Amino acid sequence: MSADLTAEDEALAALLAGCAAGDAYALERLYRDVSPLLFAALVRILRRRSLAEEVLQEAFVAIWQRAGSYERSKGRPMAWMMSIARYRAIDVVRRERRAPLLVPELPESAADEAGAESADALPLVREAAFERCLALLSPVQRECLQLAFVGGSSHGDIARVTGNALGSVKSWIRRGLESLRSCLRASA
Amino acid sequence: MKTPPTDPELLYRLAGEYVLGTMTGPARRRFARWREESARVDECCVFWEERLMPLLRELKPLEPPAHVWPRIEARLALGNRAGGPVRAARTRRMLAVAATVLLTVVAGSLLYRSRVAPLPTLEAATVATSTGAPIWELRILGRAETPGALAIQTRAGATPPTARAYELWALPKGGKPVSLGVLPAVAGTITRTLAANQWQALLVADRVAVSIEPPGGSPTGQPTGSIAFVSPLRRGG
Repeated sequence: MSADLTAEDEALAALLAGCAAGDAYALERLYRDVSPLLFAALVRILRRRSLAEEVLQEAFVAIWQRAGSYERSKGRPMAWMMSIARYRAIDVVRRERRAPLLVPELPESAADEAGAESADALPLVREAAFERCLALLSPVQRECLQLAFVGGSSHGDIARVTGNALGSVKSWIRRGLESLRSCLRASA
Repeated sequence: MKTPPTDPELLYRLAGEYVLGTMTGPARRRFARWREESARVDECCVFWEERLMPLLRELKPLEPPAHVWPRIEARLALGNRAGGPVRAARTRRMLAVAATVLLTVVAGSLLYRSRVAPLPTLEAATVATSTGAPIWELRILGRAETPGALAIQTRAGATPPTARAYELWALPKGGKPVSLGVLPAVAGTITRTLAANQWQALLVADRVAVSIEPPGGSPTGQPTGSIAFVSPLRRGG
């Protein structure tokens, strides 16, 4: 279905297996390894550090509790954990109607407060197929997908931020997904 | 639409909207339910969850503040765990060091106080097999309104089914079960500090139950597996 696990994926999967077996140290290692990525994503979606901290806690509680159900068919470990965190954040944002209105820079003060921010971008696998397929989208389709996936923005948020009609935003996202899907399927 | 669409391309598009987060409200909840019930829907979601990950590379990793991890540990009561089968030796060493430090710090206050006035047993329960052989002896320690502790003495026969864990629940009268954590499988006695919600539930509970759950406990906060034991709570020791 997708690319083989990398060495990093294997290490994360092993830590998840440790969590499933009740090894608290495995969870601590996992937290050390992946919390900076999850926290960065949560701060971007939630815009409030205190809220992001709460959701990060909930996400790790859920990761610990659900580690026993993780298996290869659930996707790469990082994507599996990121999804747990993102869905919680999206639920919170939608419920509180505190969707981000102005995007997409990270509040500088928040980054300073955190102290140890690495200068590197996330160590995510660059997948040639994905890059090629992403490049086939129109710039506005790409931007919409980016705002939704990375910023957690709703259709309405994206329409406001980009100054476009809601209907246009919906159809760009729909067509963007369709193009990505057919391109990725063709290159699988 | 009561069931997931049969058209795979439509299903992939809906899954994409779900994963992006642009599917909202009742449609989102319904899709989440489909995902739980259908491997086909799950597969479409996993496709997007994996494929869209590279979009996140514009983010810079951000170290969470130092107080977050201790809160996660506290919420999962990891410091009180009875010791999983594969707990690393390093964890044991760290716990030993932490325990020594903690003892040194609190020896003058807490320890003294607990010697002078040990917490009384408010309620107790014996979880036993159908033949009456006790598996766990539970004692709820504390005073009135202040959250107290739960002492668990584990005897033989506490081994859960393969790749499962036994989880203990307070059954408040007329309320939903409240988790009291995963029960130890190895013989011995542990004492676990109770959170405010666990304490409140126990104050109005007349029974405890033990359910069979995934390792680490129920993923939902409510019992998901079958109930293996139910025992009444009795006053005092």
